[in-house]
Amino acid sequence: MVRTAGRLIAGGARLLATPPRFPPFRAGSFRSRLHHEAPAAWLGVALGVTFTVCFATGLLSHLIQQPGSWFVWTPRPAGLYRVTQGLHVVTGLASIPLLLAKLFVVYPHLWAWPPVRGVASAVERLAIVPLVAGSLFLLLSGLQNVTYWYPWGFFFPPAHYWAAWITIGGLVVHVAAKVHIVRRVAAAREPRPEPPPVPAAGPEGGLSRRGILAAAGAATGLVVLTTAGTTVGPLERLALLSPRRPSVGPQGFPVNKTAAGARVLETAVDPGYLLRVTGRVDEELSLSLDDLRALPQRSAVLPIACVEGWSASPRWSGLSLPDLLRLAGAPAGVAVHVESLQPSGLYRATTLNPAFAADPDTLLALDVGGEPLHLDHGFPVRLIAPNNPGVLQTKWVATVTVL
Amino acid sequence: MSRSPSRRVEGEASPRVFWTGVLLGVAVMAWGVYGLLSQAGTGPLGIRLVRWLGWVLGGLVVHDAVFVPLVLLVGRGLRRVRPVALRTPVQVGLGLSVVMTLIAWPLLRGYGRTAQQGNASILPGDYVPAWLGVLAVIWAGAAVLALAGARRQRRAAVSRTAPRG
Repeated sequence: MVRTAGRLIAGGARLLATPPRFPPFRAGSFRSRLHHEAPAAWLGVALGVTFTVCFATGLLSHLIQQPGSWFVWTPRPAGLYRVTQGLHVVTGLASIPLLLAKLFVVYPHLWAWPPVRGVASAVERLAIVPLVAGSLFLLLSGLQNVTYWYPWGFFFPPAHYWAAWITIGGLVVHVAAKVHIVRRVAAAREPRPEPPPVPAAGPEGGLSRRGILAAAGAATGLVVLTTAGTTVGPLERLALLSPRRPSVGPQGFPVNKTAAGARVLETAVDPGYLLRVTGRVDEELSLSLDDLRALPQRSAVLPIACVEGWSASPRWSGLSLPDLLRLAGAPAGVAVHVESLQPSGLYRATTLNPAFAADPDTLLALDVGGEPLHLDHGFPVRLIAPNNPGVLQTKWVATVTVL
Repeated sequence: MSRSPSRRVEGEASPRVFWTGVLLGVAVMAWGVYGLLSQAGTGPLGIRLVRWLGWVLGGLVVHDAVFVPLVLLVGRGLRRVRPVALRTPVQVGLGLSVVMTLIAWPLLRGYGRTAQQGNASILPGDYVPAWLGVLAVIWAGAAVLALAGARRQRRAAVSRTAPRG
């Protein structure tokens, strides 16, 4: 028994000592010079930057939508969420060519022999699984989500969110294991007297190690150029591969949920519509559309910035929420719950913290661009607050409850 | 990022940095797994774990066992491209075309158009010509690269044969 086990272990050790004689394990199976630590290190640095920005902005968006007791979002600066969420989507898309190039460069390591060289190597290699699988999943599911393609059969936000934590954990282990290679590669870099205009062709021709970096950079640039116009106004005409154009939609900007989709086609145009103001107020209000229009109006240019990355900044006008709260006799410094006519759905209501409820530019908007709201933009009344994610800008507002 | 406290030989891994990273990274992963399990479920807000795993591991397998081997195979085929100066432009052209096609795929197929009937602001573009236009730009760039490479090679050949004075 013991002898059999001993023989098995010895046999296993022999097996591990020499790589199998067939590819991809055989030495020399991967002959391209692109499988090298220098491009791997630089692509790793670039991905480190894009993943960090993408993770931080994604985490922020999650916290804004599901704030804990320790996180308080603020209405100022008004366009901050527009920038952070635009960055989230753009850095995610920009990571696609970088990740594909990186994984191609390091691919031979997948078949390294022996598979592990000890405890540290086993830990490092195991952490690669959540890192690579998670990265591929995050970029693919993110791309699918911004293009409104939902093939997974699960709820996207938590699936994407928790996958990000697992991936970033794998990334932390990976960086700790590989940072010395980045140092080594950075130290070995010689000053170049004059970079050649074209990546230098070696004996076998084809891409050089610098060439693949240049190509990955070009691909990233092209991805950003053809998609960032979904939120960066001047680039809109270049946003050829963007699922949204900031100027396309009713009244010149996109719609996420239509009135038909929200099942408010009848309730929103009901002539008996009343906006109710209730909760901790001296006097409950029920205001018709005419009543609302008779009150002092305020207008502001505010971004509508969607979690999917697009944004537009039209001029809105309607009632300033703090004015309305004063009219109803609500105490100062209150939070407010805003509910839609929409009978059901995850985003039919939103809670504004006291800073948002007190901001004069937090509007119950009646008009956009000088005309009454389109039904798909939330007619008769929608919430539009500065620095508030689009998904929380409740449309077809029915009730304002002072908490 | 992480600083190694002791002076080390350039390019050597520091066990202290590594194991600190492992501790931190495993804690972060554990938080992710905890969150994932806490929202595992089949309700409308749940993560269906089996499907989630299918996508996560399926993506890994498709990438490692199908996508990269295909790229390597095509790359091997490109070694036959003559003249040699054309190899880099063809590699770059193909690589960029693949990336841009991947990004454009959901738009070309128009999956999102069925997400909400009657919402014309979703996928408003004419994506087939847009995608073809992007490919045209890529291959125009590849052609410029090829011309520049050929010119450089001619010059190199001239300077090799020219008598040095």
